[in-house]
Amino acid sequence: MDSELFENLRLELRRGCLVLAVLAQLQNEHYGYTLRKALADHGVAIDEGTLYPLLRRLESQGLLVSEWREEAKRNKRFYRLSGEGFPVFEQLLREWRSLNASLERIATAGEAGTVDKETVSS
Amino acid sequence: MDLLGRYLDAVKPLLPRKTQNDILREISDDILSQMEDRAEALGRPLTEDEQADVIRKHGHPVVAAARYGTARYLIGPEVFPFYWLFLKIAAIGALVVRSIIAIVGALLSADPARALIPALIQVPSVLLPVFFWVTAVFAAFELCQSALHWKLRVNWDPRSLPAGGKPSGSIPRTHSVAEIIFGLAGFIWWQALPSAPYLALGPSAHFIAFGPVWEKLHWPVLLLISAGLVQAVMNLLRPYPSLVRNRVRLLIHVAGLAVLWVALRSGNWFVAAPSVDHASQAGAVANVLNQVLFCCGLAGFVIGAMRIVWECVQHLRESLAKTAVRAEQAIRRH
Repeated sequence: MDSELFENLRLELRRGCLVLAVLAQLQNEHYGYTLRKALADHGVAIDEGTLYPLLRRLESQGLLVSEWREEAKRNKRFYRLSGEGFPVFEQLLREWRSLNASLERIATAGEAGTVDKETVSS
Repeated sequence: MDLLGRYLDAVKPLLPRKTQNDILREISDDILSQMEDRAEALGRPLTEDEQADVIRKHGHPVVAAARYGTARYLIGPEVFPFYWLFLKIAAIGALVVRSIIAIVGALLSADPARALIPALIQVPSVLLPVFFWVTAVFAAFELCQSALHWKLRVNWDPRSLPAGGKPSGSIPRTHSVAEIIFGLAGFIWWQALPSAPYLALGPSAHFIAFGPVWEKLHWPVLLLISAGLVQAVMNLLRPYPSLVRNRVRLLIHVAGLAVLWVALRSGNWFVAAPSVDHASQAGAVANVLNQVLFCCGLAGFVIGAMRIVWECVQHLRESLAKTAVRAEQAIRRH
């Protein structure tokens, strides 16, 4: 039960970060398969069933552009961040950094509080 | 046809028509890339089982296609709270209306006692069409919202909320539900009594019968039970006490006491059954029953009267306190 709860919370936590990871990776052009591999190499594994619909959604929102091109004797769809997508990505990155810093501070303060209590009780 | 072709053919009809070829090409490329990578790692072409394994990771065709759908839910998270609230209100309202129709229809039939229970059993069947229509309307709204890019905007002002929020003296909903259940059971029981006296008298219904006063009391008591039921439903829908509601409750209690008074004055509640063999013995039993019931009824009347007086005093106190507060506020304003 606890592991199931953790898994649900973990997925919830990851969901928002995936968009940021995809946008960050698509500062350089990729097609779906290499994008997935690149993300996995950086420790952000994402299955194809999540990635491709996400790419379409981000493209329909104007954050990505794509084009079909032949590579290695096969047509592939290449994605990259659009002109409109760059500032949004930068804003999101700032937001994430600020959130991350805040969380770090909160977690550190919480840990310090726990240590203080333990010291007093001992 | 190879496995990949069969998979793509299964996914294709489930995709949005406009983008299906585009999506299929992309899925195909991804699966082929995975297969190539795996074959390169193994240093040989993939077996059918290995190919099936790669394809299986993409998910069942229905699941794979559903990921590309525009709306993957019937009613979205923004609309759902309104849908759920409306569904509850519509279900309760439909149940109440249908119950009233069933009860009135049964009462107007040739044999009310027999017609009532089948009519009431039919009542919950109203929930299915209510659920269907409410869901259909909200699903259509959700569809329009996503297709036409509507945005649900609810204009509300915190100042329009009830003063003080939920009052501490709010009526618990469980009480109201219990009142409705017992009220309905009481209604059915009371309505069935004239044709089935054993429901009150048990086996003694063979030699004891109801006195004529019951005919006179039947409808007033039925009316009192109905009034109590309506009040319980109102309390369930809006569980906040109000002055009007308290007065109505007091009125129902007074009416109940009046009915009890009429019953007490008659006294002759039970008589010997007309077709009984030992009429004198049955009459004696009926007399004892009448005396016991008279004592109980009198005690009930006194307690009920005291309770009403107490409630009246409470009302008067509350009214006076409110008047005093209003007067004080008026003085301050001036």
